[in-house]
Amino acid sequence: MAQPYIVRVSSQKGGVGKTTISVNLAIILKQLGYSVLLVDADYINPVVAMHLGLEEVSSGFRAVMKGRARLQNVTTIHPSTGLHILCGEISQKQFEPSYESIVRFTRMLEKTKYDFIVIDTPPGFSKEVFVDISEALIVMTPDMQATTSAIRSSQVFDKYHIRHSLVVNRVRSRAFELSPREIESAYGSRVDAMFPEDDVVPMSIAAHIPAFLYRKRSPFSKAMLDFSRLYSARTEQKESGLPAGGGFVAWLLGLFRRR
Amino acid sequence: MSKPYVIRVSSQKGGVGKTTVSVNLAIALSLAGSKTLLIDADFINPSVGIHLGVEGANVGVRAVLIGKSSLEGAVVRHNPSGLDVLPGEIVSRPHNPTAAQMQRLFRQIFKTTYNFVIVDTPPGFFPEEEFGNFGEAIIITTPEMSSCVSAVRLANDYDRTRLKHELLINKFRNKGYELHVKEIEEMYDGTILAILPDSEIVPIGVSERIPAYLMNRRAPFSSAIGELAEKYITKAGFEFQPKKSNSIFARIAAAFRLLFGRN
Repeated sequence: MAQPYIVRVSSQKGGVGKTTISVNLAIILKQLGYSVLLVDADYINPVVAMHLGLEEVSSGFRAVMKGRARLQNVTTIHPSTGLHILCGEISQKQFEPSYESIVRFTRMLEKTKYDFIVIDTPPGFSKEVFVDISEALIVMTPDMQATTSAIRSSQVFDKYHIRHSLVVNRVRSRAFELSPREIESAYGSRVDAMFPEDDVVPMSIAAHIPAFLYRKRSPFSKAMLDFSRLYSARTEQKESGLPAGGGFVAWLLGLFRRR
Repeated sequence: MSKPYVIRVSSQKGGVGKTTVSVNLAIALSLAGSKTLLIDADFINPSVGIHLGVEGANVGVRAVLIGKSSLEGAVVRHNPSGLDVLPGEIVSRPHNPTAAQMQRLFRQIFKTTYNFVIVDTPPGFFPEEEFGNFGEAIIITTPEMSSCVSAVRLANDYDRTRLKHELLINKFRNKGYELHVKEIEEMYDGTILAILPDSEIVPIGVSERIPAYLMNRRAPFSSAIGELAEKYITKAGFEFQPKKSNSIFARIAAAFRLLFGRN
């Protein structure tokens, strides 16, 4: 059987939208018919549960890392989509996993039956960058600080032969931003996707519903969907298409069905 | 002689504006006449250099930490504001300083004659044993749930280590989907130091390599920074003669004074 395709969402700079992109990518892949696990490995500031409106967990990522719990016993299921999530524990104790435990954790993930595993990480580099996975997804914003840190990240990934792709988030198409061409020439490779700055994102976070489920037709959701579809080519599994509904007609039909 | 007033700018969540606040506050303090040092202690992603247009430092905070350079030897002067900067070196291998190195750096800093020392930190908690209980902290948050929750967690961490802290709300847009200031105040359980409006002069300033406060001092963001700097100057009990404004009116007035010999 094929191994799961593991995507680690990372960036050296914080606040560029790692969690937003991880959550929406996982939700869309799930909606496309894949079996997906979302891992909140941001042990500095775990907020995946908050984005999804889930309760805080007492054992999750840390417990699995420390070998105190089994993955299948501590995964949470997102009620409306069926997405599996390994949440991060909110704890006062500082915690930094060892290199060995990250390797062990990654090998364990490779043995699961998921089609895709999306891992949200803390900002910066820790030992996890040296662990081999299917793909590192670098997230950046169109400004100088994020570009320099994206370049640094890509150099490290190149050195360890880890496939990486780059997405630019919060694009406002303003003159003071870096243009895609400037970013590509600085980064030395293609930009895989651009996501527009969209009020739907903070609104959806405030409502604890991922942006894609909150408003499917918003510019951010559309760009996210197009990007997530690229991942269909990276697995042998076929997508089953988005579930119908959401529109006015579906709502009407639903009314009739209820009768 | 009094010791420098050390302000650590921190947040657990990234991208809330630690560097923006550090840089602009340091510049405002410097322009108000105080002797100020800005330290880029963000070992993960040093970007003070990008904000100020002083780039490609080979000698910086790391060199001082490992004893390769003296503090004076690594400090760079930002000419437009007279601010002293201890930049961060850009290296591909991350390195976290040891507790002893951090302590030594701060002992060196306390021997200097600076009035204010602003320290920009990486996202996350700088534990007591590494950073020591030096000065006080500004915790930066944006008016949204995820960053407020992490700000509160950081505040708890600081309470445990008995470090004084205050909360600053950045990128405030006054929109319905944001958290209200009252809600944030209740979550944080303390008073709010300042509220900085979300402003385009910040990204424009970064792209031009001129900090927003220098670019336009009358913008809402800059006046909020100016007020914050004044607050700290009063708190520290310093008295300064602000540097003369070099606006066009001031220059015309100066020219008139020269011409007509009035003082």
